[in-house]
Order: sequence, then C-alpha cells, then structure tokens
Amino acid sequence: MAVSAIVELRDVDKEFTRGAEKHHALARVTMRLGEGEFVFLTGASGAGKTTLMRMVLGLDRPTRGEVFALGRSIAGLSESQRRALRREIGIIFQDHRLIASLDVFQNVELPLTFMGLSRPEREKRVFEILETVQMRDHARSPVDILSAGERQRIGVARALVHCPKLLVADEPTGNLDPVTARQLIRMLRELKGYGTTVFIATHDMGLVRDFGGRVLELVGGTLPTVEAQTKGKAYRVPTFWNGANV
Amino acid sequence: MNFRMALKHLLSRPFSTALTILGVALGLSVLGSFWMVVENLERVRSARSNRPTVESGLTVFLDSKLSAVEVDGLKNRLSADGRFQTVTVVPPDQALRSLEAQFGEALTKIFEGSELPVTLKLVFNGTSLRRDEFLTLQNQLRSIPGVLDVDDGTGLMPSDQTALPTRILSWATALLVFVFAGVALLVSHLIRLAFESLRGEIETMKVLGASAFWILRPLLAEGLLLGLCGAALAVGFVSFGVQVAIPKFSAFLLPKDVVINMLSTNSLLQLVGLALAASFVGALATWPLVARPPQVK
Repeated sequence: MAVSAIVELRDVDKEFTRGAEKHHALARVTMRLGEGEFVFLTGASGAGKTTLMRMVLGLDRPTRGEVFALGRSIAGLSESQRRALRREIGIIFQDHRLIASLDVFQNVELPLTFMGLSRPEREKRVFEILETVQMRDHARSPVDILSAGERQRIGVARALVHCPKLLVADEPTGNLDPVTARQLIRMLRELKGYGTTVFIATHDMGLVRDFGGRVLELVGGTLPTVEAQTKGKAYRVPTFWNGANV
Repeated sequence: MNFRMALKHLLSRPFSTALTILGVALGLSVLGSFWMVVENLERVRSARSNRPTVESGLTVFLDSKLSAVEVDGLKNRLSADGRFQTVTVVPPDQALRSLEAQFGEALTKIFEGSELPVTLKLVFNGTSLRRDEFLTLQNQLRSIPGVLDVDDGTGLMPSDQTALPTRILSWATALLVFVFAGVALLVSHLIRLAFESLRGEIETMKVLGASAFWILRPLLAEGLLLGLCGAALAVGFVSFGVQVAIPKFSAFLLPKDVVINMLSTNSLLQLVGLALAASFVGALATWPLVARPPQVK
C-alpha cells in the first residue's frame, strides 16, 4: 500500500562555500517519509544529518533538487510561508532551546499561540501535555531551575502540544542519560500509532538498535536509493550492535 | 503580555533604559520649550496686533449687483449680531472720498472710471475678540452670498509683524523633524540592543514558526513605553521650568507684564503623540532583523 509522503527530497544537493573551497554537505539525496513512519537518520558527525533536517524545516535552501514537507515545495515558499509550515511541525532540539524569559507553561504554549488558539483551549492542551511528560507541577516554574532531563521533557511537550503531523528531532537524546533517553524515544515511538511521522537524527546506535524502525544512514552526505531505503535490509541496524560491549 | 514582557526587558537593562528615556525627554523638552515660546509669542502678538484691527473694524465689500433692498437686508442681519456696535453702509462715492482722505489723490486716480463696490463698515462692540475668533468671523462673513471680500486692515500692518511667525514656524518645523529623528534613533538603538540580547530566543521562536509581527509586538511595546516615559519626563521638565525656573529669573529676563504660560493641553498631547510616533518608528526599524529567516545553527 502506497503511503502519502510527509517529507520528500528529490536529488538534493547542498554546497557550502568557505572562501574558494566548496564543501558538499549533501549529494543527490533522495528520500521519502510516509505518514506515521518512525525513522532514524544516522551517520557520523559531519555526515550531513543536521543539514538534511534544516532542509526539511525550510531553514536552508538546497543548491539543487527539490524538498517537499507536508506536501509543500520548500523552494516556492516565502519566509512567512516557511514559518507557517514550521508551525505545523513539531521540532525537538538537542539543546532543547527553551525561552529563558518564559516559564514552563508559556514555553509549551508557544506553538499554540502562534497558531492562534484561544486561551482556554491552550490551557487545556498545555496542562494535558505537561501531565503526559510528568511536568505539570512545574507549570509555573522558570525554565532555568530545571535539570537537563526536565528541560528536554518540556522541549518534547512543546513539540507535541499542537499534534503535529511531522515531528523532527535533531539529536534529541544528546544531553540525556541513557534511561531518560530511552523513555523519550519510547514515547516518540508511540506517536506512530497516531499517524505522526517521527524523524529522528541521532548517532546513538544503541537507541537505533533498541527501537528499530526504518533507518537512513547518511555517509558523506549521501543516502542509499529510495528502493534500498524501503526494501533493503542493509540499512537496518547492523547485527554486531548486540549491546555486548557498547 | 507584550507590555509586561517589554517592561521586564527594559528593567533588565536599567542603565541604558534610563539613558534612553533621559535622551528622549531632553529632546522633547527642547521642542516643548520652543513650542511653548511660540505659543506665548503668538498669544502676546495676538493680543497686541489684534487691537488695531479690531478697533478699526472690518470693511465688507459687497457685490455691485446687489439691490439696495438686499444691501439693507444684509446690514440689518449684521446689526443683529451682538459683536458689532454699528454697521454702516458706505456708498461708492463716499468710499472714494474716504480713500482720498486717507491716501491722497494719487491713489484715488487708480479707481477713476471703475465702479467701486458698495461696502459695509463694521465697528466692533469692544476689543476683546481673540485672534482666532477674529479670523473665523472674517471667514463667516466671506461665506455670506453677496459678500465679495472682507478687509481687516492687516495689509497696512508693518511687514515684520506678519513675517516673524513664519520664521519661527520654520525653525519649529526643523526642530520638530530633528527631535523626531533623534527620538526614533535613540529608541531604535535600544531596541536593537534588546534584540541582540534576546537574539537566541527570538531566532528559536522564528524556527518554531512565530510570525514576524508576533516577534515585533513586544519590541514595539518596548518602544512605546520608552516614548511614553520620555514624554512624561519631558512634560515634567517643561513644567518645572515654567513653574520654578522661569519665575526665579523672570525679574531679570522678562518685562513685568509678560507672563509665560505652560503649554496648552492640546500641545502637550501633540508632544506625547510625537514621542509615541517617533518611538514607534524607531522600534519599527528592527523589522528587517525580525523578518529575516532564522539565523540558527
């Protein structure tokens, strides 16, 4: 059964120029994420994971090729249209990027405010999601008194509060201890059941091994072909990742 | 929420906020003081220059096609107005004789052969008419059908009495533009500092989808708060000057009969409006920073 594409990249190249030197961050990348898919994007540091994530979010323009997110071609969108697109996407950052001048409630409320929801509706949703991430008691706390794990949970709550169809997480477990990291990924995997596409960039192969799902591995800015991504087992977690000495 | 956030940001930088408010207040005080001088000058000028014209009355030139009955009707209508003591119809020949008496035969020769209009000579009931009332009355008279023109004799006033306000108004306009630009620059500078200190948060909000206007709102609120505080302080400065400083030195500086009045409520409101408008423009200058794509790594 064909799934409708939530994210699609067609022959995407991204070049950066530093002085006279050209650096290819992405080369002829083609990929497709369907509705309700749970996908890991792996690769060594500098492989182009963050660049690819930025393309999907409309933060960077490809040098060549086309990027589609939620059915819209990123290239044809103005800056305000890109912002409108990102309002429909849940975003989790590695360093959570909470707004220090706002309290926990206000941070989580932000996406709903941007979408123009009424105050009672915002309150209802924010308290519910804070309950889910077990942070309701901290609703009125300033964010700078929270631990790294708590802040990341707030970041997750903020990314999920508006029920996005697409969730993009760039190294979401980078600053978390292994237990909290697993809790977080387990929760994100459950979203799959609600039709949300979850796209996680990580280099934590332990997590990839434990949670499975589709795995895309970027190597020097390139990805395998679409067919290999969907059918090939070569891009599943390697068998040697059995946790014996990790 | 915007004003609360704006206030919080301003209070987090007390020194630069205080300096900006002081700068705005000083600029507005200079403008306010100048404005006050203009107002007072206008009041004095009006009180003085008004007298001869009110005393000499008005000459109303009528359409020569009006019949005697119509002229009489107009005379009766104006006589019923409490502001006039007498209304006299001056026939053309009498007007010519009056011109001869006033300017000599040389001038009257100009009118020879042409038909002089019938005029009404209006004498005021007292000399207490304000200048603006005096000008309004002239316009009202001009709008009456059959009235060609109204002469208040200002044409015979020395030219420096009419030229002075024009010069002052030019200076006032230049000062206004200068202060407006100054206030806008000061506010813009502080708001840019605010933007830079909150840059990380603002860029994150952009990534999360905040519209440019949503980000701009607290910055505009910050600008308006600065403008409002600056204007309030400026009014305080000018008021202090009028009530404390000027009376202390007026014995040395001003003639005894000259009283300096505080700015009128209307002018004070205009000053506050100017401060708010300039601050708004200053804050709006951050638009390019707010509207550009997110600068995050």
